[in-house]
Amino acid sequence: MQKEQKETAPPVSMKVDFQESDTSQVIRTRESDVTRVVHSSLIMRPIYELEARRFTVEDEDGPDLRDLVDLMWVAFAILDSVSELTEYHVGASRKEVLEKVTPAIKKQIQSPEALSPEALSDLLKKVFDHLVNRNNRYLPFEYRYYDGALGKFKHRKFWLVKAVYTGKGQETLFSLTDEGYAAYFGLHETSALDSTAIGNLRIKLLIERGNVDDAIAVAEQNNKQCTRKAHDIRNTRRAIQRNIHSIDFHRINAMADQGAGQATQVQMESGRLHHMVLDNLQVTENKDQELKLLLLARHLKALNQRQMELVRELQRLPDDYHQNSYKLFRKRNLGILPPLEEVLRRVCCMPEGDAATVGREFIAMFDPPVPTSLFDPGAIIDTISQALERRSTTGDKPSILQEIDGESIAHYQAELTEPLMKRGRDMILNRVRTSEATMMEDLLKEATLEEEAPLLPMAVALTVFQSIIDHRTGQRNGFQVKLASRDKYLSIDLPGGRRYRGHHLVLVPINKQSCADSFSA
Amino acid sequence: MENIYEISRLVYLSLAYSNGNKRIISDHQTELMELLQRFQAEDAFHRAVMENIRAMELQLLEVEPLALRLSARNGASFFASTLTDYGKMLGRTPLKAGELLCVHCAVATAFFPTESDLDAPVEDLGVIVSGDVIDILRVFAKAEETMDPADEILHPEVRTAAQRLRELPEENPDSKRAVGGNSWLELIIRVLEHMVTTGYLLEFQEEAEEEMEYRPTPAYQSAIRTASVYVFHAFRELVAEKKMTLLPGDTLQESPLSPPSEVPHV
Repeated sequence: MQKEQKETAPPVSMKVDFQESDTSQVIRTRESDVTRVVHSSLIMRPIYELEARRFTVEDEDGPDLRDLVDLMWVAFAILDSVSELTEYHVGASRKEVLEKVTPAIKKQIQSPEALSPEALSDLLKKVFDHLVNRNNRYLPFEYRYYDGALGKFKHRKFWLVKAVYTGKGQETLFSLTDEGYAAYFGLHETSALDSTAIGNLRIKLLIERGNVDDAIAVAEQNNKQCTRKAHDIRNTRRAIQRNIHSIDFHRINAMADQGAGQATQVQMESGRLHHMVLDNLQVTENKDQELKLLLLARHLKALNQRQMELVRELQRLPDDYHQNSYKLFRKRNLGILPPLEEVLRRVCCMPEGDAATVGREFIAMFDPPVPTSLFDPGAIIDTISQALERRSTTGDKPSILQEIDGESIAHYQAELTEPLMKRGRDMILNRVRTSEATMMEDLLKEATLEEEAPLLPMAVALTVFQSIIDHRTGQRNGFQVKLASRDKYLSIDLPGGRRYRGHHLVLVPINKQSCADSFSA
Repeated sequence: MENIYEISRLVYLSLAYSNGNKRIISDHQTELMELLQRFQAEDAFHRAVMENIRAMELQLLEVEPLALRLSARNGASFFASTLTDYGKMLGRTPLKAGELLCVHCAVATAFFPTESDLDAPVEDLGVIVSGDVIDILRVFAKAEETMDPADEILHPEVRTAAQRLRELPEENPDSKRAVGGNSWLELIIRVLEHMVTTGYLLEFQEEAEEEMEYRPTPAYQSAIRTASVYVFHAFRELVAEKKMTLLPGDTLQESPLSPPSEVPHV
């Protein structure tokens, strides 16, 4: 299909210099001529950019790559390989292309030490990625140029190598665009630039380079053609199911009849390949060739199997048609709704801004109504607490989780319990209120006397500590902690192997302090 | 107006139904049945419900056996689904909606090649794969370009939706997930996935095939019916507004299509 399109497409030269048709009838001026040349020469810009790109990563310690490899050569070799590989099928994968190019580039390197195979393949990959504009998400190259005739700047966008969608396999395939062909074949010493000439040129190249490797390639490609045919059959079958009106029964019959004819044709082709290999075998007799022959034999065998399958599929098509033929008798009501092809054609003709506006409306009208969440604090709290309770929000039956063999999570139990702390605080407050100033050590000693609560001294010490660090707690408790003497330290043994060490602290009631302060003020 | 509760109830449940909320529908199935019967039998009730739908800026796409299929009336509606629903990345550039529109129409064209398919039972329509949509896009992206200069309807400076499409690659091998919508395949997958989540399409994968196959649902059919009429008319209005020359074989006078607001109810 791809190939057919290419052949029926208008000559490349016309497409490339689309301004020619406009300007030839009008007056040719310097402006228009120069613009045309500029416009056409933009095609070469991605290739020239390679030199400027400087493959900096390898340049760090090794020699300059440009001395070893001709980058432009690499670029055109890649274009050439893509064109060669796409002669029989829709595209070539990156790996195929690079494999094809590598041996030719290797020859350029004078000594094997100069560039390791890894570095070379790295370089090739980079060149390929540049040609497909990978850095810019495979979008077309875009260059600004001055249009002399119109007197303003314009942009030209084009691909040299473009990713094509095939729907088969994981690998993306690439093929040359019209610009790509122009870039490569435009520099061949041929005057005719139309696509048929280019097509002939490509076929000629392939034939001239013919060898056993290519025979294998052709066999593989035949296999791929079988795949394409199978795809075709699948599409026709879908079309029958989807819209039987669009299918002509004669076409189905013809396809089935053709099946046999095509099978013999492919068989003849395989015979020719076989012949070619035999000829080659007579010329050279080495192990390598024999291996290749075996490989070819395997491909031919696979091909035969595919053919049989294909013929079977083809012969089933009329049956499918009959099965779905009841739809032909359905009443058709025309004229109420627009045909979708017409709608799509209109969409394609819309200016982009209007298309976006229409698109937004279309989406709104076409998609189901969206539940817009209203702001509801209650619902949010509900959702949060549900999440906290680890209840699934979708299931409406809340169930209690029961864990068999599960151990409950150990929670930290504070040793200083609430009553204990309260007792400690009460004890301090009692002492502080009754006396002018209370020594910390006296308090602790008194606390140690309590036999049944060994942790009481700690509770006391902690309450005092809290009052020191938090001014407000101290105020609430009604005392202030002061340092008795700066240099002396004390240490008291407490029950449970604990020991209190520190300054001599004095607890002074706060109201008395504040009274004293106010008096002095 | 003693029916206010019932009217609102039918619209509310139909909204839930259109949105694909199965739980609400199964909980209130009998109630819905009664309401729907009243909707079809009582003329006053029918009118009142239609008024309510209009007031909420909704439109009736189809009366389905379980409930009414509704959608937003326009882009400014409270219930309108927006570009953001197609993913945050796609929403970044406002012009992306144009590309989505192209892809939507191409998907619809793949499902319904002729206008009678829009009325045919969906079971007869068969499946599509993403490759079918790509094929259609290829044809239409080129068709606009190779149009005869005499038929040129726009000033050559104006970029068309098809041109935007042409400047996107078919596939981006570096991204296997359809996040950015920077290639045809990504856009198509995004649209198809979105329609699977909204219940418009069903996806299947046969064991031998590695590709996902999609089947339409009646909901999709009725939604595209209304939306395609809208797009068709939107183009007409654009033509009238911008004084563009018409497409060949197209006249403004005869209008065989019903305007989008008056979708015939069944």
